[in-house]
Amino acid sequence: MIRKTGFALLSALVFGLIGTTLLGYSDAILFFVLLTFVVGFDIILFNVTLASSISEISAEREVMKSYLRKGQFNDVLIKFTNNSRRPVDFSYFDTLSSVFRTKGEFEGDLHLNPGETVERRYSISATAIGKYEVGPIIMYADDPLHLALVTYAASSKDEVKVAPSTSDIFSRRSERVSNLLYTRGLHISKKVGQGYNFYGVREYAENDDFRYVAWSRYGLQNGEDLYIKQMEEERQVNVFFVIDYSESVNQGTPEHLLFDSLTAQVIAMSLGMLKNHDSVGYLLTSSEHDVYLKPERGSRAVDKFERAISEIKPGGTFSIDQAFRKMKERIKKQAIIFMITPFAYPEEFRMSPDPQFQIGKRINLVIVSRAGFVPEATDSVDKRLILDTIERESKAVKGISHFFNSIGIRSLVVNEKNMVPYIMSEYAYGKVTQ
Amino acid sequence: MNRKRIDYRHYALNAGIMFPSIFLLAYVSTYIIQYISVTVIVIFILIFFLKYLVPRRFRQYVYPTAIIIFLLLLLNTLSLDATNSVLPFLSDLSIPLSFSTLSSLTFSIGLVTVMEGIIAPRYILTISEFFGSLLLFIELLGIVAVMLTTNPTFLATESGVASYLIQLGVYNPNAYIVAFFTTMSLEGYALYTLVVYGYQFYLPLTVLSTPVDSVMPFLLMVSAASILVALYMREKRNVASRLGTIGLAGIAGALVALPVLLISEELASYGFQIFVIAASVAALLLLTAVTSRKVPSTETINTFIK
Repeated sequence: MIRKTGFALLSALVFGLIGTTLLGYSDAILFFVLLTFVVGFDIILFNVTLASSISEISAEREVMKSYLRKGQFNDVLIKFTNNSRRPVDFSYFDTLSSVFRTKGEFEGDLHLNPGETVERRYSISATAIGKYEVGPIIMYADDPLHLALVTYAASSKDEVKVAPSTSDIFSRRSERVSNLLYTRGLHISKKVGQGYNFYGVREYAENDDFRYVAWSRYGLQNGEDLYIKQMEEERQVNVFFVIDYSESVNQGTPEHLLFDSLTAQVIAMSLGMLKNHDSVGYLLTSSEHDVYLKPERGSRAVDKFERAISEIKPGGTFSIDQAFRKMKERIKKQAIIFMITPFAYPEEFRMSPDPQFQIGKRINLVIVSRAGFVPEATDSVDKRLILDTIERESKAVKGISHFFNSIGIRSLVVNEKNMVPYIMSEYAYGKVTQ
Repeated sequence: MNRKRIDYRHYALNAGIMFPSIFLLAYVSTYIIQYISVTVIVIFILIFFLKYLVPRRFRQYVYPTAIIIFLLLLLNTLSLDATNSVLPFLSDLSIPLSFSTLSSLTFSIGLVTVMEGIIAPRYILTISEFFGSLLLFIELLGIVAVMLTTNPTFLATESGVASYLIQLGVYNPNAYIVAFFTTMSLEGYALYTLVVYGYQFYLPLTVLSTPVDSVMPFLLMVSAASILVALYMREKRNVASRLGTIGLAGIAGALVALPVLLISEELASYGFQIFVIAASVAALLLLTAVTSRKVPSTETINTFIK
């Protein structure tokens, strides 16, 4: 395919040729005619030789593992075979998402003789969770004057699913264990009822179970009064994370993405909650995604969540109305719900109490600020614009948070660093007061 | 702070490619400098330097902005001429619409093209700038050739042109104006006869000779050699095979171009020179277009996953 430069050069040559011919300047005519034909034949020879042979190169890719963790290197092998009858010089690259770091020969130049097969190896490591494509392999070649280019996309695409890295999750968990911030006596939710732990005594009333009479307190005040023992019972709570998985969380740089950081923190918090023998469930919601994982105890809940997030990428839009509707349909049991969203899409709210938001559950609306996930601008004008946008967004989400607090839904704007302390303190409060 | 090293070889090669244009610029300017406005040339040179003084991100807007400003000034001048009633300060912003100004514009565009060609970062840009500027200076060379001529046919044409100019209101036209209109009218007439009758009339530079005729083939050879050296030095991958390919293209191009030139020279006396060249170039372009088909891919290039 002739490139724009080729068209421009040929046009300039023809223009020059016409001009000099009309002036009748023989030296320049000779020069322009010769150059026009040399350039023309350069393109024609390229088209009939290399450009037609490149489609006869077969390229096969082998991805060693289709499921890996963030930061883990995965080997990829590419085999090129020249099926044409001519030696072919070309360049290639494997199409990769920007979240992949590479080591080795994912791009390069090759010279293949007829029938020759060459192998190239490289490794990829993802910097964010999700499902990503590897491929297709693009082979390209151009003529010596760089006036024509042929591009050929070969081989099918492969998929790589990336789960959060173990280092991310465990480092957060060990931090929490070490500082005992979330483990000081809040492992259980206590409720007065039939349990094993003694809570206190109260005066005997009719219909009380006679077995729990505290005989040691009998006649304490007037000689005939009866007391009944009150026991504590341990109850597990259901914690539910409703996560906005729309395009709005797909923000940041390939090394520091909002959805990646968000899900790693949710997993870390889930592990803390599971340690307290509570059930954890998830709802990843947007106009494109609707992933519901019912509350479960034990590490299976987190495993399922990891698998779910490694198979999708944020997409679509988010509406809080839709999210509440889904919660109403799905979450039947009593639960502490954490709805995590950056609130990036415009919503309309009624100032009067909205029945849509009254679902009879304890809901904590966690509005994540996106300020820490804005790529750094090098230009001062861009920097100013970004700061201005962040400031506006911050004001808007603070207003939304005030509104939800006013209608009885606990809400706070958090950033990447204070999200875990806020959610865990709300979780602790929820356990005590439930 | 790391300063980028200046690659003098690059600029030397660019100058080599632009050599014929530089030479012609120097040659024609000695003849026509007295007839053109130096102010316009200075303004163009200032615009050229301004482009490299402004921050990099605004660099691409310098020439378009200059063109827009010029067009606005032209519009203001025309409206001033037509109505005589514009705002007071706008009347000071009119440009003199004279032949000297317009000639200066042509010369200045050639000058800036040469300067841009020398400092262009890619050789393909230099080559494009070279073709553009070469054509412009050959046009000016044609005018200079007419100015220098003692050929009776051309003198007769000149006197006819001069009388036409007087009828058009251009009194006391100088030698440059007459030569300019003579060259243009001959060129236009050649084009007219070619389109209407299928042959060409007078071609000024075929009939007239200039002192540079003897050195031009050498200058053009220097330019062609510079292009080849630039190719060799800037090629990173598979240098040998790629230069082999261009060598093959050169031989094939020359093998076809030489018969075309010989035939066109033979038929020049019948006035079919342009026809032969046009037909061969059209065939070449057709062949280029036919062979430039897209290679079908087995996959679409799309990396986004939902």
